Amino acid sequence: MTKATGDPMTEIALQPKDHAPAGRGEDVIRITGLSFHYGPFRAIKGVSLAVEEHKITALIGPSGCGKSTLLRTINRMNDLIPGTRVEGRVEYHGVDLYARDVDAVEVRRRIGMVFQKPNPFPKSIYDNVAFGPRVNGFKGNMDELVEASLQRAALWNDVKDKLKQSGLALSGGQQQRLCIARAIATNPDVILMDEPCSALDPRSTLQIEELMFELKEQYTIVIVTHNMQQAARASDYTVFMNMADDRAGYVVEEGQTLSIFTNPTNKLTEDYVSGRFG
Amino acid sequence: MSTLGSSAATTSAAVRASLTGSRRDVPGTAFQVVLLGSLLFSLAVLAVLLADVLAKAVPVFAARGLDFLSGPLSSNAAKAGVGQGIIGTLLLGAIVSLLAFPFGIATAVYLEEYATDTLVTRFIAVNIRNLAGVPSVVYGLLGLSVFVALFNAVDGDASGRSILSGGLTLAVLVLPIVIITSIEALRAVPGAIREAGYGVGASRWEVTRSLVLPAATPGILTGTVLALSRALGETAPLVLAGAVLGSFSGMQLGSLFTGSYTALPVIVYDWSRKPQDAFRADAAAGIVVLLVITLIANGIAILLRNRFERSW
Amino acid sequence: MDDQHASGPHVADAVAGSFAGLRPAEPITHEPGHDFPPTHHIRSAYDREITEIKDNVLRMGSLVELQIRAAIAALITHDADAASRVIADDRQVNELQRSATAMIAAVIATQNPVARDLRYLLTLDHVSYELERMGDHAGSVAKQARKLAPFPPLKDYVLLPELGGKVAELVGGIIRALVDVDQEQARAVARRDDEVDELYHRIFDEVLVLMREDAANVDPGTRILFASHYLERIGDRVTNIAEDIVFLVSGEVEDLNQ
Repeated sequence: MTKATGDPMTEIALQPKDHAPAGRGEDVIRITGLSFHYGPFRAIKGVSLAVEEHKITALIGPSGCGKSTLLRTINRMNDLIPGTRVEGRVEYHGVDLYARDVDAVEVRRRIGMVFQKPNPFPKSIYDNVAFGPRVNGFKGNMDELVEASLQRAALWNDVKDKLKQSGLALSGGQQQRLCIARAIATNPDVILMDEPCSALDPRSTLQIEELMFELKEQYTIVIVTHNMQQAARASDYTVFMNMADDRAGYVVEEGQTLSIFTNPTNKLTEDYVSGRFG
Repeated sequence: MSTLGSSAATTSAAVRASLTGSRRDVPGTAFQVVLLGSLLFSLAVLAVLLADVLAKAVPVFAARGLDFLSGPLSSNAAKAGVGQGIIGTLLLGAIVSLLAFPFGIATAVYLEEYATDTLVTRFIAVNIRNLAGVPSVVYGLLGLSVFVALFNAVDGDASGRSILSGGLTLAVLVLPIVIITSIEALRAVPGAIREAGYGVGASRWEVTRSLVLPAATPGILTGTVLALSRALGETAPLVLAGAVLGSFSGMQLGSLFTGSYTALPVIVYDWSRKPQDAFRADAAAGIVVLLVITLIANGIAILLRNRFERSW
Repeated sequence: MDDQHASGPHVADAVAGSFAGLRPAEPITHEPGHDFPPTHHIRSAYDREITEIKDNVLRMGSLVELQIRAAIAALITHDADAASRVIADDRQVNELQRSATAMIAAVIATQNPVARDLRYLLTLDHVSYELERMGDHAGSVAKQARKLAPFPPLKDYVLLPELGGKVAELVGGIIRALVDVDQEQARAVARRDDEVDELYHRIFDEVLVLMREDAANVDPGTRILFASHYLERIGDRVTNIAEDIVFLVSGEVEDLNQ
């Protein structure tokens, strides 16, 4: 029983929770009316969504619904594929990323990416992390930067004694964390993750999710996942995409993860998260 | 209860019979025999060739040793040596390396990493593959009509038949091989590495230079080994493009690059046509020298490749 | 009362069978409270959420115990206002229960708990339900206290205060057993419900006698009967919670209502 000025009942009953819902933070990325074409084929149509800073936004949906394509338009990775065309706007801090004078290389320095299958360079662990800063003209203390990046990726303790060893000699989960360290070494704003755990065992998957939770304090994270439980566990917002009859992907529903998984507004969303299709 | 037991026993016996059955895999065994036979046959042929050459060559080395290696050509079989040929072959190897490798690798990098997939680039790629299959004699004709004539025009008559035109001819011959093997080596680099490079904000040049080329180096070096071996062994193009048959005084320092020249395969060809047996023996010895040089060249290239192909 | 409990071998088997997926594979010999609440998940958010739900339920338990004591105090002191406050405060118990259920649903939806995690959450859900009902009963006792306040006490409320005190103790005891997740503590508390039942029967008999003696006693007597009935129901629910704790720890469904 607490000592209090008033009724002991009131004191105990409703102590204030820590997570009072604050106002929504700034939208780091705003996508408006985005359509994407691979040559004549329209892969996604009319997508509009916003990504809030310092939150984890998950893109879910059945195979082929365009979630990876959507992710890759954010950091202009699709530019590397010939014959692709973008309609609509992708804004990053208000700047249209597809404007004529925007350099894709600079975009990718600020919006990093972690891929589905861990793909460290065939170089040493140190050089893996140092590569990004080097090609971007980093002039400071590389040792410190490498250590800080590996610390933030929760890999430093595992590799601090073997920085010269090949990055490929690590286990799957460690390799993926190395790829995360590599991505954050360029000090990006946003980290895009394309199914980062699908090639990993369950324990590594949970470790990466815990890492994401820590990372979102400093970065904004957008993750594509085909694992619904992962989206439910790990994300703050969820965007559900589906493939229309013309095989173009579109956004069905988006919102706070808890609502999407306990009380979605769209029946299609409900069917998908309940495992009735997809 | 007893019926259960005995039926279990019979089942187990039936299972044992089916597992340890004596069904023989005749086609499989026959196939293995054929494969082994082919291997042995190939080895036998090589062994016979090598034995034949060595048998003829050893007496020559035994009799003359280093003199054979350093002596000039001569119409006297007992005095003829391969010194000029060794110099010629080594120089030709150097010219080919200096010319074909950079151009070939650069072409491969452009076609594979930079060029967009259009009808034109596909046309070029097909033609390069065709060129790799063109008989080497044709390259000899090319060398004669282009390089020899060019040098003749520039430097006066008969200066066209220099080691430069021979080297250029061989370089052009092996260029398609270098290009094709380099393209394959570049293609073998996983796309994931390039993607990861672009993902951290590297430009195409940085990705190619720092990621793709280092990863493709072992494969590219293998291609250069192949090309070099091919070049060192070619005879017909050199004969057509002006290598000297018969003896000559040449390959002096002053006119090293503009005067007459010869190469080991050409010498071997020349000697083997002569009626005297002694010259045949000399030819065999020349073949041994050529083999040794080729092996050394290959060995160096393999060493280089291993050095680049670390435990990544 | 008896039809609540399954009888006969077949029904018992079916009931036990339906719990097969939820009970642990071997008899558990943990230290009390050793493995609960289940924590040390790789994802720290999961730990926090389970702990928050547990704290919510424990808060409910403390509240309910206070409510019972406050209702009895209002009775003894003839304080109608105090009784009204108890009735009003039940709202907080209800809100805690709703938020506990919402949180449990959220964890089940997002974390996909299995094994021990799932049994713990389902137990907490049921316990919070029982506590909410106990809060309602305490409110009902307070209502009777409010009605009795204007009148002089009938024979010192005939052991009602003692009954209320004992029931409050049981509630406190079962909450402690829940904190420790100790099935022996739970069983011990459940056994003491016998004392509650015994007290209840004595009150019942005495009040009947008093009501037969004097018609003026009927009004207050009836109210005392109602109040003691609610208190006895609280005692039964304490036993239900004890059964939940036993099932959580050992996986056995036991009837502790002997």
